[in-house]
Amino acid sequence: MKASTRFVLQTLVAVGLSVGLGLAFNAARPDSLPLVEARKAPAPVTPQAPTDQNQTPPLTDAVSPSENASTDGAAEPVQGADNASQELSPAENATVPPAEDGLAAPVGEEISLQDAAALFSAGQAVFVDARDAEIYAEGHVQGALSLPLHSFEQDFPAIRDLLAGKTVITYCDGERCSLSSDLADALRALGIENVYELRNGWTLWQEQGLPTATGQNPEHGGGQS
Amino acid sequence: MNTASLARATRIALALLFLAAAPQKILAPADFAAGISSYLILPDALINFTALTLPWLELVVAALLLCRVWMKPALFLANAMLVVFLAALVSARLRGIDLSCGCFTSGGVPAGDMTWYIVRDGLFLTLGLAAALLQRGAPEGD
Repeated sequence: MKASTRFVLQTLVAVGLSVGLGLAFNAARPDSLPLVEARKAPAPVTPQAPTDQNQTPPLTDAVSPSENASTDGAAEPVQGADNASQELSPAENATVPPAEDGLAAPVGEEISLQDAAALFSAGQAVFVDARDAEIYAEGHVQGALSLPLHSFEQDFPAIRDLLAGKTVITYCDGERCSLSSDLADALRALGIENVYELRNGWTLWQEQGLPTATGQNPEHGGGQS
Repeated sequence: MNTASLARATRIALALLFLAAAPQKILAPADFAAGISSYLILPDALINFTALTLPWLELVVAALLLCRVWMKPALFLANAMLVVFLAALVSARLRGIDLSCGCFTSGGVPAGDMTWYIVRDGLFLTLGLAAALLQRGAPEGD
């Protein structure tokens, strides 16, 4: 047998063996992973936690996205100004409903983009960026605080007071990015209330043309450890 | 240290590298799938399949390298994986995607410094290429 043929065959056998072992091991697991798993749509996220019957419905139910209205100039930075690359109003193609008085609390541990944007425009939310400080500096939700999970213990005391009395919205980037969820859990564990995760937040926020900013976190010098 | 010793050292180091990387990903495939997904490279249909099989390929390659069996395919696969890992990291960095490295864990580790991960993977690839070069001309098995 030619050396090249042997090489190809041996490579294919090694790959095939790996695939077989992987699939067999997965099949034998009690919590086996489906081979194909539908990815979540980038639309508003369904709450995961049990809902409180006393809570009002989320804003996504109350406000029609078809209104195609922008948040206009009502948006306010959350806490502390940073190096905003845009004006406070979102881009013209923003489709997020306007802010309303008496905003309803989101249900569950996640928040939809519409709810988050409405709270943002009403100045009732503090956005907390769970990504690396370096990535944060390249672009983030306007007014967001940088709190990378790996430097949480070091950076959290500096921003704790800024979270009081606000709806705290954590975000990172990517449908399956777990940093924002982990950060939300860490905040709740320290007694911070009204903490919600905006899944795939950075991508969704940009896609809607909502206000963004660049630069380091003014509150604690970037948070990079 | 002669060439044979260097070849042996790089081969074993490469094997241990993959041996260390595989187990946690095998034990927590869902987390690893989440890590793969965060790179925004693979289509959804391939994410779980990759998460389920790639760690086993790492394990098989490590076993082949340690046992000095099918060395050329093993070294080829090892370097191919390292190139793919490095390219994925660089791609994510260039696109500004924040992710968990997933290099030695199943996921969920803070991203840390992406540049460091890229440099580290570059060093791993250097090791892999060195092992392959040193292996050239050597008889099958060592």
